[in-house]
Amino acid sequence: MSGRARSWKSLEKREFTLALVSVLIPFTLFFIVVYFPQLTNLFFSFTNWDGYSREFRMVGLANFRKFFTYQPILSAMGNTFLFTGCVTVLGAVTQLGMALVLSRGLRGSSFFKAAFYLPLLFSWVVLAVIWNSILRNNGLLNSFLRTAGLAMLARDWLATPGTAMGSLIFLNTWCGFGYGLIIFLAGLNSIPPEVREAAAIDGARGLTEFRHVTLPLIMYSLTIDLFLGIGTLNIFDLVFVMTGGGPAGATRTVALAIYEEAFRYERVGFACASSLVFMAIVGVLSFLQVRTTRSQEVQY
Amino acid sequence: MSAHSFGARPSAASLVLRYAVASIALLVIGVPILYGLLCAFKPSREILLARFLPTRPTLGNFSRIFVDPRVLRAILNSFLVCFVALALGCLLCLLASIPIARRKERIFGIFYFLFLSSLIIPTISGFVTLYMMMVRLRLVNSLLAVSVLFAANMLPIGVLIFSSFLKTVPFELEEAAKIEGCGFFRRIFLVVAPLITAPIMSLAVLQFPAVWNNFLTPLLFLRKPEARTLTLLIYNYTRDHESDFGAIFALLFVGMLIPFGLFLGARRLIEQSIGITAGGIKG
Repeated sequence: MSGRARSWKSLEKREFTLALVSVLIPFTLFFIVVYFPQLTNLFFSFTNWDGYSREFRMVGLANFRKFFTYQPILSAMGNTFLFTGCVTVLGAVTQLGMALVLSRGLRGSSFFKAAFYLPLLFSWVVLAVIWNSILRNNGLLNSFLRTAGLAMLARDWLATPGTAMGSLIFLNTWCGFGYGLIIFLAGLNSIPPEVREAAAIDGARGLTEFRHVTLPLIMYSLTIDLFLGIGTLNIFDLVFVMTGGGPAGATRTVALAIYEEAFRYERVGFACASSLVFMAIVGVLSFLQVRTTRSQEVQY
Repeated sequence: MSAHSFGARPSAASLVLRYAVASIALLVIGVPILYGLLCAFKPSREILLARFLPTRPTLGNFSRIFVDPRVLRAILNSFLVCFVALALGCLLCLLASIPIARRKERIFGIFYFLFLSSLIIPTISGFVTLYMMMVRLRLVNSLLAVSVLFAANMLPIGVLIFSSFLKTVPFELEEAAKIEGCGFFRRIFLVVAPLITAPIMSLAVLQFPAVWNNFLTPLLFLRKPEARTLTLLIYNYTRDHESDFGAIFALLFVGMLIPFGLFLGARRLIEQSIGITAGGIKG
């Protein structure tokens, strides 16, 4: 009897070891490609390394100080916050609005939902070529505006400082529309019909119903949608292929600035420090956002 | 007005309004994509005129790009990277998720936390020193190395999807197999994997377009022309053959066809997968 108990115990121990091995295989690889680069970032952020020389100096906190005083980074920071702020708010409003339009038994809503998802299937490299041929000076949009008698509105949308950022905000909202829509529709569909019926019997209708019944019940969808919105702080592809950060740095984002510092200007030490500070900012903002909207979620 | 008619039978006016709003959005989303697809059938000179419909449709653009060996090479590279990345990625996620979902020890919770908290790390911030590291290890230009990078980057979302799904699958089957003497890794492949084919498919359909369309990773890590993926080739093509609009749009057409085909085949699954991911973030 005790022999069997011992063998069961040793089996359990073996099970634990094997489970540990099972996690450690993927985790080791993950650590090497995700966490280890962050550790090397930390080291090189205190140096003036250019990325290929064997020699570099320790420069203390100089790179970190530079992050908060270097004009190109500060303006990229401003651009990024403007972009993310607009994209997040505009996205949440349009997606939720469309979810309300398509919910509650609209025929053909699954067709619309599928069509709205289309842009998400394609790379920004592909979409950029199409949108460039639409937004450039002699592109489709301007030729449409001229035909419609609105020639004064026609301009080179991506090369004009006043409209370049606005165009990118529109493009990102255009592309991400279908994803948030699915999240909000799932949230709306999960509201039990009895709750809505009860609200209707109590006389809640239109905006009142939305504000006091629907919105609190889909707060969880909003949490996720806003979390994904905060993720656009990392925006790179769209800007890189559409404007390259121009005109005159008007659409340069932090991710693009870090890329340029590291791979164009060979200031790897500074790029590493910038990466770390930027990561901290993204982390704090994501945490605050999730905590704030979560506190608004209700159970039923 | 009864509660029922409020919920299920909206008035005609509101229906018209709702269809109108949805149709306008449909135009805004669909017209640019349709325009891009139509341009593939126009001669280069006509594309410059910025008219919506082709006046003299042609297939000439396609015959021009398909005689280019770089194009076929890039398509092949893209498929290769996607296949290796998805297969290896699913395997790694499986190995990581089963202990995380089944074992009660604290250490597995820590692993879970470490996988998920990496979601907030900006991609670009790791790539700076990762690039320097790959150069040192002579792994730049290796399609296999890039596939492994993609596979490793699937882990946070994959562990999230698999482990939240596994918590809904009863433990008894695995327990029985264990008592019958079925070893740990055999159990993973013979007992657990068949039970979670649904989330495995979910992960694959969500990640296929992400890998196929990824731009920054090949841009940095695949530098020589023979190693280009299709997305990277399109980027380079638009810079090297700036005036050959016809060929560029034909390439776009090919690049869009494959993710679109997947979407047609797996639309429901993609939608459910987004739901599962969203549900996982909550948990």
